[in-house]
Amino acid sequence: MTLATARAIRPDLAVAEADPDADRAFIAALADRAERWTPFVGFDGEDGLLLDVTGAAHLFGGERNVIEDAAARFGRLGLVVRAAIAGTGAAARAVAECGRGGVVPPGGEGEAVASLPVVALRLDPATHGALSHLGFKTIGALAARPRAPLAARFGRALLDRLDLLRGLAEAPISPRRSLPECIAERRFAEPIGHAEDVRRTILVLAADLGRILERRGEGARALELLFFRADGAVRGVSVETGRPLRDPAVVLRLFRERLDALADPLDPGFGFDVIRLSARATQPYDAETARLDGREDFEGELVALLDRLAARFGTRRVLRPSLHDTHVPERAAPFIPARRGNAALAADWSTFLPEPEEAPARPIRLMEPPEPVEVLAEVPDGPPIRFRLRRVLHAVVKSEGPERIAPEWWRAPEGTPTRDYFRVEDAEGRRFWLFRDGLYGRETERPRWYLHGVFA
Amino acid sequence: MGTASRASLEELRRSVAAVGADGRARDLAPMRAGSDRAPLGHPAADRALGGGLARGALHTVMPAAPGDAPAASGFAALAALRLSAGKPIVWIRQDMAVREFGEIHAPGLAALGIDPARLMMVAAADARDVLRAAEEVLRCRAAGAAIVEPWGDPKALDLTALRRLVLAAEGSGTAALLLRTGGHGGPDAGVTRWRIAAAPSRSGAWPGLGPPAFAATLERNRLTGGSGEPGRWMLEWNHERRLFEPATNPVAGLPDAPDRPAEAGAVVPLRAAG
Repeated sequence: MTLATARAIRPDLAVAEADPDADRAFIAALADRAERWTPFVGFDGEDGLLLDVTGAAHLFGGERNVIEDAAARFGRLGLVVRAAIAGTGAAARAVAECGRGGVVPPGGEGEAVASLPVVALRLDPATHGALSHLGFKTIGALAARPRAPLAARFGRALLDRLDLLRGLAEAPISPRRSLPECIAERRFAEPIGHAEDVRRTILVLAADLGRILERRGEGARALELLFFRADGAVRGVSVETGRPLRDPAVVLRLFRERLDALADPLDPGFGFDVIRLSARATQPYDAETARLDGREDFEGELVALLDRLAARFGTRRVLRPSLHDTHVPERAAPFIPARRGNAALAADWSTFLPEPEEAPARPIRLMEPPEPVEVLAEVPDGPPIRFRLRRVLHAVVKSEGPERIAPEWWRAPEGTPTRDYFRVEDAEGRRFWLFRDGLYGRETERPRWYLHGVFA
Repeated sequence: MGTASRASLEELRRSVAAVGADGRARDLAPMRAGSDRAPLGHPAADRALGGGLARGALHTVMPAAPGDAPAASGFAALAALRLSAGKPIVWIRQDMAVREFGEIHAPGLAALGIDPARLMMVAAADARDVLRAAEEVLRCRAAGAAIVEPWGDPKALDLTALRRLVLAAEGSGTAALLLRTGGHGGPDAGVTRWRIAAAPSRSGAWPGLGPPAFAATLERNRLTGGSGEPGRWMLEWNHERRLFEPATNPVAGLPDAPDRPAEAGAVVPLRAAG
């Protein structure tokens, strides 16, 4: 039906532009909320959610209650909910979409879908057209026919769908997010909201999770806390750790750092009724990790310190120096997140150590970007005699250079000038790293000068 | 680098490793007087300090003038190296300090004998984050020293905040160096306060620059066993022995020389001590 036709029938029709992005975002938000029943939530097409509640339904007092809870919670959002539970996702979808919903008893799929229209198969329009042309109205009618001729006429896909709907075959549900390695959760008949209750719950969950991890001989490398509010809203907080972890006190401390640092603090609203802690990544927890001699102990404490700092300030603010094989100073030793292993350990920094009695060749602080300075030199390609930095004139008493650093032709744009670096000391003993940008006479007629760093 | 210096480097590495093992053994036991001091290397300064800078305490490092921020940074880093006993050094600096004084450059620290493999940096957005991170680091026994560098004279840097750092440092034995680049004063809870100026480096056989030199003024000296008196020394860093030595440059003046006169055309803001 076109819009014009529809308007001819109902002139007061409300029209809204399709917004697939908003629809997707909405479905994703619903999927977040649906995690309260199971972490195993997948999308079903563009307009459905598929939950695997195997082994989870008893937590709610049976499958019937899961459906009622879902209908009630999503209903409060103003949604019309169609939900069904069946042995296969396809059967559940068919019963929810085309039937009356509800719980299909185990093995009852064939019967439950028998009266559903053939569109419940969700095949392509051409197949549906052909089926209705042949007079097939229900799944049951189709299922009663011999299989061979159907396969010959419509191909394997039809039979496969039919088997899925009738519970005779299973297709795996692909979860929206990777499934956690293991989870611990608490459900509260009376929602909790006090910070102290939440803290205690996290500790209890961490202890539960620690026991599970211990049985598996593992520790967690990535942890997630999900807070399900009684009104349906969900908030997730994640932390990563530098080494396998299962000590509940440490887990609690990491999350406290993380929660304290949230720009948008955790709002319990009318309280949380489910809190779930999951290990989203684990790693074998070997004896080495837990060794108690002093050295390991300190290394462990150091990693734990870095974890806490990263949880609070973000991984991009907790850094270690790295060393790169380049002469370009600003690229030689960038700081990288400390988490990404100890790159500095493997690097050979000894080349920077000067000969005895000599001055360092590299500054302790590097200007980012280099700061322009006015320089007076006796000859255009000579060392600086005087320079003006931030309106203060400095007389050069000692200087060393030039150290010529050419641009890396494979990286720098064509025409990037060569730099001549000078280490200079002024009359007061302050030491600077200046460079002349461009070779006089060859690359430029008026080379500019910059301060690139300062020495101790 | 010549083979001779490479050999001495190996030797140094071994001795540093030995210090590390010793430091660990020591840190497992409760701190006792004598082991909780890190001598600077300058005999007169160490005498005044009662044996050296104290671990598990807060030391304040101020630049003598805004232009001495690099010298103050260098002194703080080197003092941290002396204090760290082979354990990691964590430099916590505020983003604003980078805009004015430059980012910490690991090759330059390596050139002073500080192993970048033992260096960590926390880039803090504001002074409050600097203090929070500092407290976290100082509470940790695994860190050897923390260089705490807020920018300017932030309000957050009050006596309460400083006392929290002192308590954290005392509890763990980790040394705190409060580096006040761009700062002018304000409350102080440190056992020592240093005002650092750059000093002309020694002219050796070569016409170029010599090892880093500092004019260090000890303004506040509350270390037990020390003289309790302020003092002023010319220090030169020896990157091979990794300690400060008395500077020998006649231009830099004698150890007790007064402030050197300003050169014509140069601006040297003078600041009253204290």
